[in-house]
Amino acid sequence: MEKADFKIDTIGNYASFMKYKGETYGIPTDGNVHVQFMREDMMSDPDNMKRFEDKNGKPIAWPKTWEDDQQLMEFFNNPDGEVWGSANLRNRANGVTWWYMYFYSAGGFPFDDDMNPTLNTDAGNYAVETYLKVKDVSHPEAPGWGTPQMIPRIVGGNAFACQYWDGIIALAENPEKSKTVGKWRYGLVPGSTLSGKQIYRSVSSPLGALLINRHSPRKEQAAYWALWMGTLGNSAEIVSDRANTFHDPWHSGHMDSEVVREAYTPGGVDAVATNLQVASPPIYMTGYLEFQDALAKNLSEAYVGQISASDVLPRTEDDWNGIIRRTGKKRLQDDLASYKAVMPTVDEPT
Amino acid sequence: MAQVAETVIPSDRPSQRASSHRRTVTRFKWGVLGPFLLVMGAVLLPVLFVQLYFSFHSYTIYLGNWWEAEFAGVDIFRDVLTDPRFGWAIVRSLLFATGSTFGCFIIGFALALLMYRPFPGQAIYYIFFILPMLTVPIVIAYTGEMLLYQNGPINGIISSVVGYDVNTQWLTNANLALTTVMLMEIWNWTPFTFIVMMAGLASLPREPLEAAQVLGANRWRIFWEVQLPLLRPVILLALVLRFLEAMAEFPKTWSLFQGGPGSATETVPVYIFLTTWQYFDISRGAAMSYVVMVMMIFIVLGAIRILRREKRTLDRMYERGEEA
Repeated sequence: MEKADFKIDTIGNYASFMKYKGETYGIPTDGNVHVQFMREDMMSDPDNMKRFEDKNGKPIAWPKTWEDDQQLMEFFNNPDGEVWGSANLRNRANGVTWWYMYFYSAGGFPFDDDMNPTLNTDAGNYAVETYLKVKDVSHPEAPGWGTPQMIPRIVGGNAFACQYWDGIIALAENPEKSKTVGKWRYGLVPGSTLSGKQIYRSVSSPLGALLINRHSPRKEQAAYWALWMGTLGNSAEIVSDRANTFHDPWHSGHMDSEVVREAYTPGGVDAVATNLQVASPPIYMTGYLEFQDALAKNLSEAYVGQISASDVLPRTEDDWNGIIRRTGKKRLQDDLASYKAVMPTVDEPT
Repeated sequence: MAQVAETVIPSDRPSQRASSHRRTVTRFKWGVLGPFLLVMGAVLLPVLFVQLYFSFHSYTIYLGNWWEAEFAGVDIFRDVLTDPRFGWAIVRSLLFATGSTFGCFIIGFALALLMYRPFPGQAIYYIFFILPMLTVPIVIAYTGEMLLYQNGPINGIISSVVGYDVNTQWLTNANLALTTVMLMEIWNWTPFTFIVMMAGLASLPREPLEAAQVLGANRWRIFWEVQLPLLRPVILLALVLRFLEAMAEFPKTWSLFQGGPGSATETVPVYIFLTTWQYFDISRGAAMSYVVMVMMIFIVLGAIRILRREKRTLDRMYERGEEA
């Protein structure tokens, strides 16, 4: 990168997602970040506006907190009309992605500096409670639904709101595939004031990036090719292709690019730019999948009633202590700096 | 007159002809099995040894080269055997395997009883009954998923039969999920039991059946007192083979549930997959696999013991029949 005088030009702190222990390992191809989706047509309906204000004592407004979000979802939840308040995923494999947003925005961080799990805290319990409350406004089959089941319901008009991967914006605005073109409003995901201040945290997981195999016989050539693919022109073409890729905007230049704004709509692109400023990672350390699956399993068990909500975090901490023991505390402590370096540097996007 | 010395052959000493026959059969067995055992040995034994190595050495893929892994003694096995999550995975696998084995057996045997006597069009029915076994398991999983949605066709059909709305959550109710994949497994593998039992029924000797008919026994008595006892070894074989296969079921369970909802379908294959290929804890996965392999070996040895006893009983029955 130095030789080519190349810099990864991203929104906010997103470039640090490509780094580990100070070294850059990848060139982004996909700025996967969760964006808030809300049905503007339902929110701006005069009848709905009046009923909401009568019921809740305040006008319909863009949710600033997870509590606001829940209130709106409950209001617009209409199972008889086949419109569910929430289209957030709650299956074992994916639901945990949402938990990170709740946890980080409440001021939580999964480990202390001595690599002790710090999940069973006010922030952790708040996140579990927020996660489980969404069950009231979700389809009963949500525990078994992944993106193949949920996306058709989003673009088909069977959901009021969700936080979802930004790639769905392009699909939702595609007249050939969506019944809700022009009906969505995109924006910043809600945050939390639990910590005493307003913090917004979106999540970026998983990531797509170009990495070079260390056993490659032509490492330098491959690296130059990766840099070339990461230039504004090439990457804009990739992320604006609605048919052939699922890759999303990440480069600063994408936000003003005509082709990207056409694919994602101006409102969608602005929402991506806003959320990228507060995009946070999953467990950004060695053993990430094992840590995440332990949490995901316990969350899923609570969601379907196999265990109580109060058991989720103690059990997860027990599981995590076993993982830490097996992986090695010293090794994980070395990773902690990289994890913290990836976290957003602002609490509210500008 | 010259006296002819009488040579008395003891009745328990095998004749030369019988010994020669036994040697021929043994040579044939080894001739058929030998190449297969050689290939199995060449392919399987190295893998088993490497897995044994990993079971006794602490290795995950982000800890460097595998030959530098630290010796852990029996610690990994101790971890595995005291892991409640592994214990519950075994319980779920046993429940799943038992349920699907008996389900496959009851339906497969019933179909075989209907089909084993020739009738016009038998071949067409045979093909239909075999088809589920020829379907790729992941296709069964995804097709089953579409059929089993809460407002899907299965609930629709049940609703129209019973006369009220049935909204069973086959895929998302933690208490039902394992049963759901069990039902798909039964649909998938009943043909296997059907084929085994058809072969068993077709190979039964006719004389005992005809004798029972001549003596006036009805169809139920012939089935219960003549056919079923003679079929015991075949039944046991079908049950054991099906059970072993069911314990290893993975494609349908993983593609539908990934161990969820909650941990309702986290069976042994799912947990080993997660441990080895998501957590990259190769040593733990290897140790778990060995524990399960030992468990299966004991089950198979028990089955072989029963089979041998059944065979001896049948042999004695036939010898008595020949003497009479």
